[in-house]
Amino acid sequence: MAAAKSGKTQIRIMIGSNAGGSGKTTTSVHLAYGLGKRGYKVTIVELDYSGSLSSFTGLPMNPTEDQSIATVLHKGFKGNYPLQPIWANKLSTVTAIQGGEAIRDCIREVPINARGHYTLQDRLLDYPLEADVVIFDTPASLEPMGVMALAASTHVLSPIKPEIKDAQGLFGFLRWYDTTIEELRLRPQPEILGFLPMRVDYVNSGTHRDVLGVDRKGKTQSNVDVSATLPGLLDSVGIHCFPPVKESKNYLRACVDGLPLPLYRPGLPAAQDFDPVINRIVQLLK
Amino acid sequence: MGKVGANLLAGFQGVRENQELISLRAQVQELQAALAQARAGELDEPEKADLDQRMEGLTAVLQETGGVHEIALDLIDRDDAQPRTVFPRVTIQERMESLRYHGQKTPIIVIPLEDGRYRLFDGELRFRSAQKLQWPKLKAVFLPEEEVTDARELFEGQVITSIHSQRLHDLDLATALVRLAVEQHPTLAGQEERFGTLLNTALRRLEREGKLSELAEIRLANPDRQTQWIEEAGFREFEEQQLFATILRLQLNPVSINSNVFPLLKLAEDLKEVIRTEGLESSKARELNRLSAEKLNQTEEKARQIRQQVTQDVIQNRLSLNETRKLVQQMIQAHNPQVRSAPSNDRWVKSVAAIEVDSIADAAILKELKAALKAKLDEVSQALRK
Repeated sequence: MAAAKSGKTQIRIMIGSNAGGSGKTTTSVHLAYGLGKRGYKVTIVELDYSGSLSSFTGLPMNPTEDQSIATVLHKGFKGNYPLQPIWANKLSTVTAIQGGEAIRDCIREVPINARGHYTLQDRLLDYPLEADVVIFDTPASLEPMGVMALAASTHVLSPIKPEIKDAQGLFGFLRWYDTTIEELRLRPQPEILGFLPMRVDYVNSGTHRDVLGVDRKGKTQSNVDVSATLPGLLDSVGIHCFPPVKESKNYLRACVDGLPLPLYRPGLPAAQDFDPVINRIVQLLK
Repeated sequence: MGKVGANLLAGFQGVRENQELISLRAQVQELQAALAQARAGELDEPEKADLDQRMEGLTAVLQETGGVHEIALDLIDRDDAQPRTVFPRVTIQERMESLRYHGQKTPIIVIPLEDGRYRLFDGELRFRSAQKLQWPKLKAVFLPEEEVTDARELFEGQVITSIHSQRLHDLDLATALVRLAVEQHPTLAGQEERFGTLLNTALRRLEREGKLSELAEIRLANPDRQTQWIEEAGFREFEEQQLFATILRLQLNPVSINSNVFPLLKLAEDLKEVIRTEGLESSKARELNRLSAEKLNQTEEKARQIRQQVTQDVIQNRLSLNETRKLVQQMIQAHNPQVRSAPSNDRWVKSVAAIEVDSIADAAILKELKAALKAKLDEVSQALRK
């Protein structure tokens, strides 16, 4: 196994939002690819049992318990992470640990284990993963896997669709984030990298334009009260808004082939939509 | 603003409120820990100074965000809901001297109102002293109205700050507790007269069940633990639980509230007034309160005159508690010869009965008490033999 590129502390990012279909797995996969391409060692940890990670990576649809993160969370784990290389013919830097059905048992065990919500954090402390970046892909419901991920994270990134319902979901997520940190007394506190507007269509959706405060071309509207837009509101509490990732049918198509967009169609401009986030993470690693 | 913007703003309010709440909880926890240490005598001088400093922190924060302003005294309104009403003349005198010689060091905290006036939040003593000095203005920092919209929290905040800085007289504390209890538990409204009895009954029961000693620890515990304790303590009436919740949340011991604080509510109005204006000690006020129409065998009006006369005597001649007690007893006997000196004998029996053995957890103290009682018993036996 190649050694981690960066000598710095491992960055562990929880990808989370309080809404379904916001592009959490899409974000996880594209960040992993982008960082892997730049030579950093990355591991995606899927904490969801829906199995959506398999579609972007070509990994098996129904991982066995031995192949799943469940084996890591169970008692008696001795550090043998079920790492699976992904896009191996293009890269040697990216691995994944799948979630899958076996996670259901772990979810039931969380309340009965003394350090239930800290299990993942404990594992990574006792048996360090050799990676520069670990990405936790979490399910839409935050209890209990989201809590476990937050306890193990150094950073949080929230992808959201700029719809009213999703924005309210994001606010719920932020309340959850603040409260969970207080309840679990997390020190140091995981830091919010920012929120990432996903699947944005400002040409056709008036709501997207209003939520983000932009015009049809995606330029900031001059006549809009910034303090009543999502980026303005989040900025007021020190949360950064990354440039949007635009809606594209190509994500679906790439997904069918088990590939991230830059591998599926390298020339597409949309393939660079995740670069601002990737650059920010690279900065943290330097 | 469009519909989308309004919707976002409304939803985001929850995020802000949650953050403020968490940060407040953290501050309160820190202060509580420091205060618990202070009570236990664990703080040395530098730490005490640090605590004072943090108490001044609010002023500093407000100063930074809003700056210091000079506000004309006639634009400042006292807060009628301010729990602290007792300001002995001598304290005001002291503060006046200090202001005259050193000037105003710390700004007062005021809440700017829409009509251009200001409501006083903190600094009543400086305000009153400045009025007496006929100063035109005071330095002040602004506490934004939106941070104090909840009048109840404001009030509770004032009670807590005043208790912590030990500026609140027992009488004010009693009145404040009654008000707080009703505000926190609206179903208690109309039952204020019962509070003393409720608390007393509940404490007697706890005493019988040997739970009284738990109060010392519970009053310093966090609110969750307090709630749990209250639920499990076996209270008969829901009102008892509510009353305990209010008292414990302020880290006060229900036992001392019962014996020293709530009884002051029953004082005659003229005595309450003297407490407020002259800072008469509550123990003396309670003695003076025995000069009632019934005990003196006089009309209400006449009893009030006697009481006022004795009270003035106590204040002007700086009588001690013991001297006050004697004087009161003399007055009662002078006006109502039927009342012999019996009450004073009765008093000894009462004070022995009042020893709350169950509330003493320390075995060493119990042993000491046993020895003291035994010695007294021997004395009594000897006296009887004579």
